[in-house]
Amino acid sequence: MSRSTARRRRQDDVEESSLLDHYVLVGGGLLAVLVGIAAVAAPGSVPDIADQFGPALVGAVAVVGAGLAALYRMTAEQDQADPPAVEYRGDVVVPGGEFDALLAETERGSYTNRVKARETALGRLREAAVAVTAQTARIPTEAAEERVAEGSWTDDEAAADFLTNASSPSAATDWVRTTVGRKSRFQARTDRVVAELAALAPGVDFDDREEHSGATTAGIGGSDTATADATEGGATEDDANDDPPEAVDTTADTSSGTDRRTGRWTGLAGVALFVVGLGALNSNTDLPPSLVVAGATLFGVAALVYATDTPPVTVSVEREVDPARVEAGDRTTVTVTVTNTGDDLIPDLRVVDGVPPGLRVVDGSPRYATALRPGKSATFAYAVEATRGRHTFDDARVIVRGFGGTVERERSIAAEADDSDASDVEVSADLLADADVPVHPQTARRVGRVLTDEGGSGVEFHSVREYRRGDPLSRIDWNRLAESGEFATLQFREEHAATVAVLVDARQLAYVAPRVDAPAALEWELAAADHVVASLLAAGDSVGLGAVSPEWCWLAPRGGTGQRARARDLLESDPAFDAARPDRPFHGHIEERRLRRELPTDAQVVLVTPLCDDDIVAFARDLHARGFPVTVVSPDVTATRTTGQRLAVVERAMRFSRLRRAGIRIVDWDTDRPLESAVESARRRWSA
Amino acid sequence: MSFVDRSAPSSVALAVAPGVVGAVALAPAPVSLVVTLVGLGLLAAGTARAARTVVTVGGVVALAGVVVAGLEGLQSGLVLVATAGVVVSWSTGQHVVGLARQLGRDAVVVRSIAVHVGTVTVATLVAGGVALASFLAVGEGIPRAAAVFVLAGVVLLLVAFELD
Repeated sequence: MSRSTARRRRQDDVEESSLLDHYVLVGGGLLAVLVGIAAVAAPGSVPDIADQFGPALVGAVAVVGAGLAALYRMTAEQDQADPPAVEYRGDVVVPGGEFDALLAETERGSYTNRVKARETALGRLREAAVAVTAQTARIPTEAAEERVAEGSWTDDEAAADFLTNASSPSAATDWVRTTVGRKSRFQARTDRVVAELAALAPGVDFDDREEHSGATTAGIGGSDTATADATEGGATEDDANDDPPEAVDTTADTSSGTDRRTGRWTGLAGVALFVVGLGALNSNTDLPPSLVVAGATLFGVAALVYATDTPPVTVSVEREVDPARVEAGDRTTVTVTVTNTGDDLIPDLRVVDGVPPGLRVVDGSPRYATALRPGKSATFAYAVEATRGRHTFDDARVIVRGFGGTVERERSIAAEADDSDASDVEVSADLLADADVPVHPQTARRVGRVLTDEGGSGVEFHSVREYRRGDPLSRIDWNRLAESGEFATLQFREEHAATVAVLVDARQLAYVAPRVDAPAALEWELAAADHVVASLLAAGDSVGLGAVSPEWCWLAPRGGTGQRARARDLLESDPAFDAARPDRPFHGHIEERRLRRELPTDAQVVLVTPLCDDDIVAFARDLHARGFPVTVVSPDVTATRTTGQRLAVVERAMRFSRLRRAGIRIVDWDTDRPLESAVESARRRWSA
Repeated sequence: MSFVDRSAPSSVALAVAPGVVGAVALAPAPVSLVVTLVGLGLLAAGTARAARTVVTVGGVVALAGVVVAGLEGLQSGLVLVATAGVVVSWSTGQHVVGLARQLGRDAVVVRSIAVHVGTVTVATLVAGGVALASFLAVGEGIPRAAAVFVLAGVVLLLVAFELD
């Protein structure tokens, strides 16, 4: 159990403007009201000016005032703090999200921007169409480009026309369509093209796919606990509202604090004026009391709003994590206590806890609202699902409002520095698996399990050769000796060990998931890598481990059980495999050369990657071409809910084709099933 | 657990309840009662879906019902109660929408809403009560001259408020 206290971060309160800044208006207004009250209290003390102006004028003044106030309400902005989506894992994107953003861009902003976004989107579609056509028709890229340009790549005319340069739907018409809330023609055509591409591309079938539950990484060992974990005690409702958005912004506003006007009462006094004025219009002599009372009621709220102050943010936050050390996939409970350390009542206090980016909230809410008297505390709790690594909590966001809520003060409340470890959650990786992972027939000169085409000692018969001095007695062909009297030696196929380097894709682009609240591809990759390392070592191969990441991580290939522990240790705690997405981009060439230098010449590579971009394809092909046979193990983290996501599925399938053409073996792993079955079906394909 | 920027049903109930209680005061004017209830229904829907504009439109419709009752000569005391109810509901609806946008459906927010309802209820009833008491003390309608001055003063104060 760890305990941490946080203190209020002091800062200058943003200056609040005051009614006294407009003393002429306020003074004049109060004077007029006083004269009015005098006229009521002592009839006759004020000349009856109504005879000169008439009740209509009274009403008109009121209605015009009210109209102005209503106008003010409609044009004024209602503003409030927008805390980040801390419930979700930080920085996880759904493959295809950038294309969806591009499609949204075609319906937003200036006309020029829309046209530009359309061009870019069309370019992406054409590229995909060329790749699919070249693959399926088995023609060179240039010929495929020609087919796409002339529109003969598919039977679907609408889809074909869309990609020819001539007839893209008018941007102006679409502007009108989207303004009235209809789907743009561009969107509709894009959908159609992607559907056509999916139909043509090998191995893509949207109907056949079940949405990945993607809740835990438990599926690796072959147990089917993933779904059970997801439903137990967590979200009970399963309505459409519970679906997470396709993209979330989890990046917190880094500023230490802001005060902003919420504008929530704008126009209320105008409505009050309108009510009173309506009463005046309706009466011939004196004002009827009922509507004046109604107006006064409304003014009462306005008075409250302007009479009360927004209290200062005098709040401390204490956080308790229990237990602080857990296994991956387990839950841990976070209890947050907020205390009002000041002397003022805080009528409206809102807290959004700084959930670490690598953790996902599975029960309860890290958000809370209450009212706090001075010295009092309030407590709330929520549960997070632990993922591998060490997670540090961010500052809590605190929002304070007064009774009226006209001003909102937003602050970050940081954890105290003296015991920074205290509020961390440490999660040990729990990645268990055992399966026979096949490797290419490239071997080291040691005994192992890869059957070679060389004769020697072994089990499977290879050939017979002339006896040489020193051949073991057990391999002399006694039958032949009996038959012909000649000595001969039986040769068996030698079984050699392989040297395998397992490379894990941990670039920024590996932080993808089928849903923003699902584990990132990297988690599946690490589980797979652990599994591969374990099973290769068990088979007597010598295994190394490395990261394709801006962070350098390399474990030279060796055999034995010690290597298993060393590899596990790296997978669990090396910064290259951090649960948070790296900030730096991966510079392919430099890192690649460094990796190649480390690889033994007889090594082969198992590359674990979600395969959601083209750079990694080039990387794999390059390694393969340089004599390091590559096997790609790819957890499938694509989704099919939006157009962009479906395009991403097609593009990934095309990457498979490109890799296969280069002679690279592929294990396409549907993460809902155990890795063994993916390996098994891949093996059938290789031997076929 | 996903973040859902909607209001919890309990929050919506807390927001609409004062309006419904106030609407009971409109029982002598059935047309007004119906209009106000329709407005409150809109307000509830807007609150549930975290749509500020719908909440405001609902509040205006509900208030329109009250004003019609006032024009038809409903007792001042009853108008006061109905107005207070509608204003509290509208204000709480806005408050709940703000909470829903910032904290979502699953956060615990009841205390914050309860404090808001209490504060605004007291403010409206006190202000309306003072006005009603002064009417009862004077014993008749307000002279129009007084109305002109009060309105002019209020317009000036209003401008000062909005500029603030």
